[in-house]
Amino acid sequence: GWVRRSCGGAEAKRGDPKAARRRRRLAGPWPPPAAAAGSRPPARRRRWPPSHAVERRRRRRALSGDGGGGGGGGGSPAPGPLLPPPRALARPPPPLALVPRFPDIPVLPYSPLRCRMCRSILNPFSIVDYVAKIWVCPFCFQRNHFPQHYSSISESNLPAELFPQYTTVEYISTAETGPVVPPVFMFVVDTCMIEEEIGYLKSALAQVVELLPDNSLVGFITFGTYVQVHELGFGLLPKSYVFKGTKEVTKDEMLDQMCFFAGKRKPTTGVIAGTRDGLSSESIARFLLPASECEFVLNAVIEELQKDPWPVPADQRASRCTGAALSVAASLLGVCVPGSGARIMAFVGGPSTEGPGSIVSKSLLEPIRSHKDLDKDSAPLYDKAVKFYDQIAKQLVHQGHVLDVFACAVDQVGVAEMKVAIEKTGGIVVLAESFGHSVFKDSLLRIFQSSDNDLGLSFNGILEINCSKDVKIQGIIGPCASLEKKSPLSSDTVIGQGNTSAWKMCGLDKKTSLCLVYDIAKKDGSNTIGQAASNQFYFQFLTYYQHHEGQMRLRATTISRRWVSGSDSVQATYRWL
Amino acid sequence: NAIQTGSTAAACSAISQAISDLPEGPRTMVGIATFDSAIHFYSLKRAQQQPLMLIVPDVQDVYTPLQKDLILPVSECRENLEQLLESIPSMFENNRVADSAFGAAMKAGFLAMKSTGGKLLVFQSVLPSLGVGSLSAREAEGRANVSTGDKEPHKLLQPVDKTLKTMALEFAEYQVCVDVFLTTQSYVDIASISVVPNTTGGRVYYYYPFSARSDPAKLFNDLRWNISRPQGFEAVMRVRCSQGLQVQDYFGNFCKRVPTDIDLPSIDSDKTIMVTFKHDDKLQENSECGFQCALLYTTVYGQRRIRVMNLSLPCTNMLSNLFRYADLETQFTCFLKQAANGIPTSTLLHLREEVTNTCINILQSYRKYCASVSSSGQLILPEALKLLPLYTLALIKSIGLRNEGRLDDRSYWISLVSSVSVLLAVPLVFPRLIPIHDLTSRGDDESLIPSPLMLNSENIREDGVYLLENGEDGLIYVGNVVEPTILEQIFGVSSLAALPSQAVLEQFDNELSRKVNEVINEIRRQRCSYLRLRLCRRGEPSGDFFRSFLTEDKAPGGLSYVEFLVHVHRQIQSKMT
Repeated sequence: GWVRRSCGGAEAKRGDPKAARRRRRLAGPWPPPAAAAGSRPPARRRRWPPSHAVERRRRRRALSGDGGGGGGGGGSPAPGPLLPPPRALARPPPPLALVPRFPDIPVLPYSPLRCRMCRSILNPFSIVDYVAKIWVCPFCFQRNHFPQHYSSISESNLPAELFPQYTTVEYISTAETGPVVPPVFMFVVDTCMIEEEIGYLKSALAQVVELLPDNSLVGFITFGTYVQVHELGFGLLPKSYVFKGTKEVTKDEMLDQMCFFAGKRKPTTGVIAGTRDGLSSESIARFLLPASECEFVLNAVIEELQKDPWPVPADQRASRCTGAALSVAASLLGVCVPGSGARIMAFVGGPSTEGPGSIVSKSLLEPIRSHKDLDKDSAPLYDKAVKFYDQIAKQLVHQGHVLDVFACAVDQVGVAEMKVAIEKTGGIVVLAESFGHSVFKDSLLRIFQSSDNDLGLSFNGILEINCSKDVKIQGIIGPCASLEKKSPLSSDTVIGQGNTSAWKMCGLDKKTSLCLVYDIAKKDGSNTIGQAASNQFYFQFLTYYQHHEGQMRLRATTISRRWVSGSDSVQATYRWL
Repeated sequence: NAIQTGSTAAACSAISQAISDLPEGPRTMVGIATFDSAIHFYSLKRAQQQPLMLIVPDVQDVYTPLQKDLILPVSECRENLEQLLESIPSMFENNRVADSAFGAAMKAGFLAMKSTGGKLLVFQSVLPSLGVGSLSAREAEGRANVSTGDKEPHKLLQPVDKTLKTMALEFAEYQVCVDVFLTTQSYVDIASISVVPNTTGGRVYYYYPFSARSDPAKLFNDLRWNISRPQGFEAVMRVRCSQGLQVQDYFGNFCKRVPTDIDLPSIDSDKTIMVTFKHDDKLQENSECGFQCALLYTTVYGQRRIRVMNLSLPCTNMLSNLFRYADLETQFTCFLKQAANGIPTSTLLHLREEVTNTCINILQSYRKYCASVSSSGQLILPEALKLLPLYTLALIKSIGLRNEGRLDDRSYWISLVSSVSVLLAVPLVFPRLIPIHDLTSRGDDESLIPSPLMLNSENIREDGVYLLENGEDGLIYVGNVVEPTILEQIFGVSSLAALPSQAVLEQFDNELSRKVNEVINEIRRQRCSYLRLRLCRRGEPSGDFFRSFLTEDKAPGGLSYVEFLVHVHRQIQSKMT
């Protein structure tokens, strides 16, 4: 009799005041052990060196509020097999009524223990033989031996991942196992707007610059008739790299044209990108700079933003090369920070009329496609534009990067065409009539605010699903992209992103929601389900992601469900609920 | 490479100083761009602010990053421009990009000034290696054929392909004239590069091997004279003549689209257009033949003018009149240009024979029709053409027609001859030799320049110092036993060992130094050229180079003057029998 829980639900409710009150009540009967409490001050000291400015310290504390909570949660369970908790912690599970509905998620600073057969992670539903030091995987029933450092395990000495109430645990890489990766924000700003709109946007961007995490890397691109990549790490005078609005730029072209191998011979084989592949940090630092280092320059660039200088005839729309700009941004990130979490944040003030991804021609005689046109498949540029953005989506998913779009215009902008790229990369869309509208301004600030209500933007999510063999995965509907990992767990019927057991979520946050659709494995007769070895079946969701504080994490959620049988199954389900 | 050799600093310094010589007025516009593997434009519009560098990284499909503000009235941006020129050498001080997108840079410059036309000055120091119009080091490939160089036309003296020619035709169509300043240490394929200035009314300036110590002065003076000399733009020229004659060909630096006219995006006082005529009907005895040259052009102040030159010459059927009124300098200039024209498509051996035969045929005609009563044992020279054999020998031994020599030196010579004036044609192959060690002890005070010596070794004493100038180069030969007093007075050094290899002639406080500088400055005024001074010493390659200009001496594979006269005489005798 376990209460049904969903991963997303847990996320959504975490900020709920009632849940917070319950968390506090839960902490009462489980005071953290002295040893665990002793470990907190060093972490705090490490997180806040005294040499930092007071304002920065304040901001950093706010930024890491969630991390602090996680740290507190980490203190509650056993710190790991190597450090057995006092015996007093061990108690039988309390009665059902007292089990907290939304417990804190423990953060474990060690690697997970996996089944050697199906790679599932040790979880509360594993059957443990404490004498023989063996655990049985509930998914494939493989018997696994505990490794040496679990030798002290016993009924009175359990690692956190075996606690019945911890169906969700999070593993964090330690300093030795993984570096802290800074988030990357690449702003792509439209300049084909009236002065008033540009003024609003400048004001909003200036506010964002104040809120950027100090260690995050920032890049800045503007576009109109042409695409301009601003060199934020310039020495003597401001520089911009200018690309034609009519052409998309591949990563190889980016490497060749932007002097990433200055003075060196370019390798002739293999995929080349990032510092580990021969690019110098100096060449990357021209375009992506820590926010703390380029704040002045960035503010200057924003302050000097001007309307696109190319003249617009009276009977024409402005030349807006949104597609080329996004292509440049994607290729630039692909060159500089492949595999690191990065967001392209596009601020678009009107329809794309120039180059790839255009949705309408420049001539005002031609109206922008309407919903009816899309419905009747009579928008001449739609299919081609969608194909272009699908290509951008593939590139971004491959790189692990996100596309956000802030579309503020009275006119259509082309979000329908861009949708595929935003959706597959887990990006954000904000629609408003003006960059001065509160919908835009408040939404943008929300993304960067550090408070109890922050979104907890994270990167590079990979979701893997394991489930009992009686169940098949049909697919996921939601902001993700298939990694096309063939598996016997995949159903022949596909709904949404299917034919895989692993998905990529370049961007994800506390509010990310996915709809998972399952199929019941076909057998000789439907009545045979009732004769399964057990009435229980299980799901395990593994989410690898780059936490907004920069560490790689693995969140493991394991749930079980019970089969019901017979012709009264629906009624029985209701009764059970 | 341009940074290391000091070419960039020299060019920026020259430009900065030369800007003050630009004609004042609202019509004088100026812009600047730099290039390596990309093209960097500078927006100078932002008064009181740093210029903005706009980089065009695509060198295969070139474009301008702005429609305006790249080229501005000089009065508006003079201060910004001067500061920028001062910054460029240090800005690129650590630049290690070895590639050069010379062709793309020219194209980009053209696009920036396409709407107005004008003059494009390009400073280049290495072989263009990237982008449209890039060149390869053909010289190395061609070395295998050096043994047959005398017998086969040199493909290496022809443009590598039509890319630059096509580009040049487009430049000329929009009235863009290109002058190229080559400050180089190695082969740069002048045969290909020179196509652009030669087609657009410009020229090539060549400083090899470029010396940061001695060449900046010439570079600056060349540039200053280039922009301040009398000149016009957007010129069209047509030559008409009386019935019975017709224009046969035009020679010079221009673009020829139709048979009757030539287009000159720029025309100046240093350029010469040669026109040849042919008979297409009989001319009337005792009548006159008229010639008219009309040049339509725009002055630097924007006036549109037509300059008309009319010439009327009497007709004669008496050959003796032809010889009596022959103009040797003009005639020799014609031979020179026609020979230079033939170098890329004919063998040097064949050309030398052709030049010699022209001389022989002229003298044989004179002998046959005008001096038949003279003794057959005597070489008879018409008074007006008595130096023709000497000049012919000099041409045969010139840089253009001699066997040995660097490819780029020969290509540059061809390019120079294309527009050389009558006054400078003879000195180019028959330089002036002047002793400068005894200027104070001579009695030639009436003339600023002493009488020249004949070009033979007997006139060179090892205790003397001599200047040999051809209007372009100035070679200063220092004998091996020159008195230390003279060295001190002229060069400021106490011994031959202290003489630097790169000459920078200064004026010291003594009579001899003053006279030497007076002589050189007077030559500069006469030639409208600064002269590239080089010190030559016996026993060194520079000394051999000096001696290669002593036309009357017997040269390797060449005749002495006396031997040449004997050869000519024998040929005439054999034709007479």
